[in-house]
Amino acid sequence: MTAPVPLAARVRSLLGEAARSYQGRPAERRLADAARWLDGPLRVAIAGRVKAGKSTLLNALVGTRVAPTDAGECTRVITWYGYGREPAATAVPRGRPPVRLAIGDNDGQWSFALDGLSADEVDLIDVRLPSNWLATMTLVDTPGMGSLTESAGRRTHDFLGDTGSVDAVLYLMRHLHSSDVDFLDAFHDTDAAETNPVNAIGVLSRADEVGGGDPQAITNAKRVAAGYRADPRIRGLVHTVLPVAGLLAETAATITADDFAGLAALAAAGAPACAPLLLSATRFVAPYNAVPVSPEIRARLLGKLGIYGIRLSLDAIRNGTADTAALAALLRAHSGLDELRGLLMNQFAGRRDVLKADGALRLIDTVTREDPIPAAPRLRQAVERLRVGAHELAEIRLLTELRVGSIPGAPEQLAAMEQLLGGNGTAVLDRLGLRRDAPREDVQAVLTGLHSHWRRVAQNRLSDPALARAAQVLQRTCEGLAAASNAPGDQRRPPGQEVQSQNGAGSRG
Amino acid sequence: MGARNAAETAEMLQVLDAAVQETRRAGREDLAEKLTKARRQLTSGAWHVLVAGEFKKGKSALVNGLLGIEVCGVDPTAFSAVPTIVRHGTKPAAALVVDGAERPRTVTIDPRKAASYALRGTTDADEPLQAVEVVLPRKLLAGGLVLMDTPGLGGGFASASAAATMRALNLADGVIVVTDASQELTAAELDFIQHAAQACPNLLIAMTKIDFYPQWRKILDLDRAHLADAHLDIEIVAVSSTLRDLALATGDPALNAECGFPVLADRLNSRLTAVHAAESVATAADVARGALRQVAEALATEHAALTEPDQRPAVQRKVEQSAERARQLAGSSSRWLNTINDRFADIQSNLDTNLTERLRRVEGEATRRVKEGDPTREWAEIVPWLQRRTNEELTDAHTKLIESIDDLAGEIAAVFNATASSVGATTAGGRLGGDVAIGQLAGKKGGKLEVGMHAARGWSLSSSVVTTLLVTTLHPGLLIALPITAVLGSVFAYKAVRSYKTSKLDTTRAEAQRAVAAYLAQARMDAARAAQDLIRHGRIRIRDYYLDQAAELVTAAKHEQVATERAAQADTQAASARGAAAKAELDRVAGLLSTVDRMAGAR
Repeated sequence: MTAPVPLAARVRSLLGEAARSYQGRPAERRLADAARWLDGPLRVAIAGRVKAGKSTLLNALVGTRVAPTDAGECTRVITWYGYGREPAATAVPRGRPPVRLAIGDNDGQWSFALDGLSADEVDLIDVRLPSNWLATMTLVDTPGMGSLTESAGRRTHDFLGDTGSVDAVLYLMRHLHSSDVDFLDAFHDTDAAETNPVNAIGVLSRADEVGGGDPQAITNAKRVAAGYRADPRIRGLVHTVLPVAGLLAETAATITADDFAGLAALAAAGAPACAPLLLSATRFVAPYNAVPVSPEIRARLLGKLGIYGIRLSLDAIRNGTADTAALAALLRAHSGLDELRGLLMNQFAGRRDVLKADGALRLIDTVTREDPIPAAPRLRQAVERLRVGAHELAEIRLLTELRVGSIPGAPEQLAAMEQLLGGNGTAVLDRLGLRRDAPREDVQAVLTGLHSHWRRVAQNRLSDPALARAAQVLQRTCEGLAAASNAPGDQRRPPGQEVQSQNGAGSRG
Repeated sequence: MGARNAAETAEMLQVLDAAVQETRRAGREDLAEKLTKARRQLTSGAWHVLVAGEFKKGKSALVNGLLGIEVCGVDPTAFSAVPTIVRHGTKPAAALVVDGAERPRTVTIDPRKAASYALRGTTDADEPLQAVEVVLPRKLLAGGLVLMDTPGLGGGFASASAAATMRALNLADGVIVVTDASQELTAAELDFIQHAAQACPNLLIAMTKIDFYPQWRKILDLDRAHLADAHLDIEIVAVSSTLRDLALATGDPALNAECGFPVLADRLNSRLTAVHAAESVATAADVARGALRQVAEALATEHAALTEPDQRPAVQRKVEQSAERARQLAGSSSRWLNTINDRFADIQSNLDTNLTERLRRVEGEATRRVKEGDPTREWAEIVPWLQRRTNEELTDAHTKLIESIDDLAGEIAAVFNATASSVGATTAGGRLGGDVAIGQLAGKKGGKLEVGMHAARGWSLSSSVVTTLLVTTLHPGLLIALPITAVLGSVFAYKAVRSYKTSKLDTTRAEAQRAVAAYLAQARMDAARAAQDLIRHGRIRIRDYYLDQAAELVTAAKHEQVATERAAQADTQAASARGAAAKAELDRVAGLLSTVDRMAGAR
């Protein structure tokens, strides 16, 4: 039951109409930008409190140590990382033309610096890198909130509060108590960001530090994240919460043969020789003759891995991890980055068109309220019509309603609804809870069963009105899935939600 | 500083010992007992150090590290639910303080299980705990140090439990604020430190986990810079509880040096102990002075009656008068006792009005914010703002309450002494002649009037009545409420206010208002309960203090009466012998008194 004109096209024409209506006014540029971004890669902001490990995670996702990281607070300027064939970086100072920044290239490890510019006068930095991940999604690194140098965090607040500035948000948080005033704040830096359980993911970052050096840190972090996921308040804010050890993930992507050699030499020196070194970070870098690795190299290794990562690596090498690639794979597996990547692909990239359309419609809504020109009511009506007509939007709205608990029902029933809406993955088989190799007949059978179930619920006069409305949406979802799975060249995905490989051409204003 | 304090304490102990002998010789067993108590207080009087900070900073591990034994619950993921209070005792023991309906009751437990209860926060029957109390035979605690591990704050001064923590800090003698080396101080942490330093200036910062974070020295420098920027002169001690455990397990002195705990223990002793010792010496000096003056007055009266027979009838008359007045002071209808009753009733009603007014003001501001904005969008900002505003008002109300109890104590002292001064009228004026030291003393200080006044001022002028008198009965650790006041962040309030655009703005505003009202009602209840405790204990302590004083004056008057009567009956030879003896005793007592005065003046 696919609409005749794809959602993206309808949104684009509405954006065009809005831009024309706002010609010569400040909103025109925002609307035009949104139209341009409709085709571009998904824009994902990495947000969170100060020192949550945002830049480290960004480096891990991009696969290079490009975002500067430090023990102290570091990121002061909102920085965009997009795809480009050649590495490049541009700073946009307030009220002045953009300045090209020199990019350092150390064997594929890029770096840049704000030479001569102060962070306070730079509005944003735009970095382009030939990274595969950036072809799928543009990442935005933001200064953290809660710093003693508050001005930088304020910028993030304004940036995320700006409707339509990004399509999705990753909220990074450290281990917090649920009564902490920052606890819920951590999952939506500002309520104005209008993130919802569809376009926001929580990340329990610095997972290797949970419990302050506990050898079971990652396991503990998984438990903590599971506790967060079960919190109804958090379910209403983010899709899910995953633990990620950013430093391990970053180093998995950037570890060198020299690093491995150093670690292997330490491992070869034997556990008793290493034991005194591993007592504390200070001892690890102190002069010590019982191992054939210099304090300088040890300091480098410690910076890249932390005490937890060093212990993990030495154990792994002693247990047969033989080379750099194997160690990198082990670190990545431990870091939880693969799970996060999978989720980002499935949850964000898999819904790219819908997320972008939803953001664009919200932007039109906001613009027409902030600047109520005579055409504003008409534009708002058009937005409403589009929303009502587009089943994809109805689906994500229902997903959110399920999460914030405004649909009555037993937990299993709600979980089944969420799965059908793509909460566990947007592919047809994921939605139906079937294995990848399920035969077509099974798909048909399950679909038919679900369809008639939700039709009954929708038509039952005794159903709660909210539940009945939800059932109608689900009934249509089943119809859409049936059409998709019968389509020639079965992609087993609902229409309009294929992951498109982007060339990163979508330039920003 | 520490050495000077140790010397002062030692000298004061000598003075107290000598004073005990003099009071015994004068037949004042009651004073001797009081002095002995003061001596005990000086060597092992309880002084409370609170360990506070954000969640997961390693507060419990720090307390364990200081004590060298796992007393407080430490877990990589769980949080301490209730305070653990550790004090000295000859045998290990532990008890749960259960949050009862009227007043808390205690349940004895195996001390080895104390840690798990602090993490759980409930009894085996799932009753909520108020605190876990542990007694340990540890050298660190032998001087009276009581360490209190507290649950994390969760957002500094804007956290739901900050007001309760501030109330506890008002009563504490010292505080260790715990941060860690994972990151520099945040805005919330610094904000808390600023408020804490006001409530309890005796503050140290411990930066934990230096074994795990390679860049801890850099973080330490950044933190020092942040403190300097905020004009806070506070020392930061870098420590590692992990290394401390290892050092204790292996006995490795190098590890022990690296873990930073020796420095922390030293600072506790020198910085925190110094202030405490100075205050204890002053308190002991007051007790000694009061006791010695009473003995001196009696000796001086006896001496006068013995050596100036023509004055005897006048002396006798006045001694009888003062005995009568002393009895009046000790009686149940005395003016000071009525003043206590009246004024505490005033304080109580003022407090009620004050809390109501303050919280109404906050509610007004909150209502404006909710009405003028969109609570669904601003709720995450409103919650910390509201909690911070409430904490400000409640902390201020609490400080004012302590001040008014302090003022009241001063007033009672004045009323009490107005009557007491006429008790001592006998010897006022220094009629004993220039060769007797007591004359100078009496001339300078005005006899018993000053004795009474000084004793009273002695504690009304010390940092506050409450800290010196109340802590023994009203434990700071018990003032830390559980974070049940976190109603604003509760699932219910949150969902109601932030339901996804299904309800109209008016509905969410109404929900937000309801949540605000519920929170303020809860906060008021907590504050009123704490204030009630404070008032009740304050009243009892002040009354008992002056009842004791009055009883002493009665005894003193009786002794003087007996002495004058004995003088009247003595023959000339006996009179001159006893007169010389009395003068010798008087000289010794006067010598002690001048030592006490010098020590009090030296401060």
